[in-house]
Amino acid sequence: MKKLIILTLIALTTLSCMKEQKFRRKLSGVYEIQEYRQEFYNEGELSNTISISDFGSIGLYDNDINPYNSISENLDTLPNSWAQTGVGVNGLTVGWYTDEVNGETLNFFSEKESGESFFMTFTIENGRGKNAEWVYVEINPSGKLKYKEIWKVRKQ
Amino acid sequence: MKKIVSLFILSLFAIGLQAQESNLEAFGGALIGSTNIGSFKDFAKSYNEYIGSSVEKELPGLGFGVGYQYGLIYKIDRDVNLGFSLSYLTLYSRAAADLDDGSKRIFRHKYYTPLNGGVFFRSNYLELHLRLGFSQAELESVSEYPDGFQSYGKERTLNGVYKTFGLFAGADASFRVPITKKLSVRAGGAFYGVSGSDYNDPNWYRDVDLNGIYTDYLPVAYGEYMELAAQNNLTLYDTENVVKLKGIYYYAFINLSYIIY
Repeated sequence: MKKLIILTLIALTTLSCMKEQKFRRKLSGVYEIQEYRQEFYNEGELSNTISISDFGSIGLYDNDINPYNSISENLDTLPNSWAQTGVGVNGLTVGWYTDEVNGETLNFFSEKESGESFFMTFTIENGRGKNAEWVYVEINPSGKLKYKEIWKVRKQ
Repeated sequence: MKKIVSLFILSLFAIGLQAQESNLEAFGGALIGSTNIGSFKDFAKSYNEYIGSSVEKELPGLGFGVGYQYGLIYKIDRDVNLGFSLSYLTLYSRAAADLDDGSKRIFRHKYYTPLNGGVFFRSNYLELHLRLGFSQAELESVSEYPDGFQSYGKERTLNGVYKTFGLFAGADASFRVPITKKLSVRAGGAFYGVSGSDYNDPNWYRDVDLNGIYTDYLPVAYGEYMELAAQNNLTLYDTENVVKLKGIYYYAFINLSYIIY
């Protein structure tokens, strides 16, 4: 019985570290961006939409280190969400990580040599199968929707 | 974590098979209980005060949650009214504020005990179950927009996923109504105490050296927090004045229990 308790305590400690790893492994892979859609809102009302098909591809690598997982990308242009938040701007290296609770967030980040960091968060929608939508949102000062960027991706 | 509990259950089962006089009972059922975390209630109050007239329905506390529990009770000798238990329980609750721009601020809370051992006393139809173990809680904070989209993104302060960890100690008292020789219904109530630390979002705003750059907790004094954030002075916020799981809670339960051997 003593051995059983010790074994369980070891397993418990190990498993508590594995949740983030599980989500990271699940999310890593190469994604085709089938649609890149920008939605512009005026006082919370949709006013304009720009949609680009076959926007390129992005690879989320699992470097087995949280959070410093690298990416490779072959995108048509720098996505507006990245440009707005400073991620990947001026050729900065981009990394990614997800959360430890439910794996429904995808964070991209860059860091300058000076130590200045840039971050942005996508919410992952319908992410159970190979297809998913990565959604980024901006609001105006009164809290209403201003901009939504949706990446419709398919894992290869 | 459920794998660990299952592993334990299988081990108890195997050990039990070797002991002829032993007794193994499985139980499981629904529960309803308070998840009214005091410091979250304080956070909600300060949040409501801060956003003032732009709230249509104020953010309440986490109130009651519903959930389930299951486990095993093992007795080395079936004639002795003392046993050991292993169980898992979880409670889900939710709190939301409606804002006048048509959006909502939603908090979804999940409290659970990854590993929970106990001692079980029985006297005729009355039972007492003392439990001790680990506890964990997760708090999702999302903004829901009028089109129904729920965002974890940082366009709004405190969106994200928070978690905390603590120790659990509790006592259940219940009465048992036998249905058949092996099957019975058990109903009762329980109190439990949790030593919880801060809820924090470990995956937000870290640099590549894993250091947190910005605060990643839920502030109890939301107004003060927002003022400091506006001045880019968040380091001045008292990091002790944040939402913590710590407290004493209670729940009522109804279980079905079955004597395996």
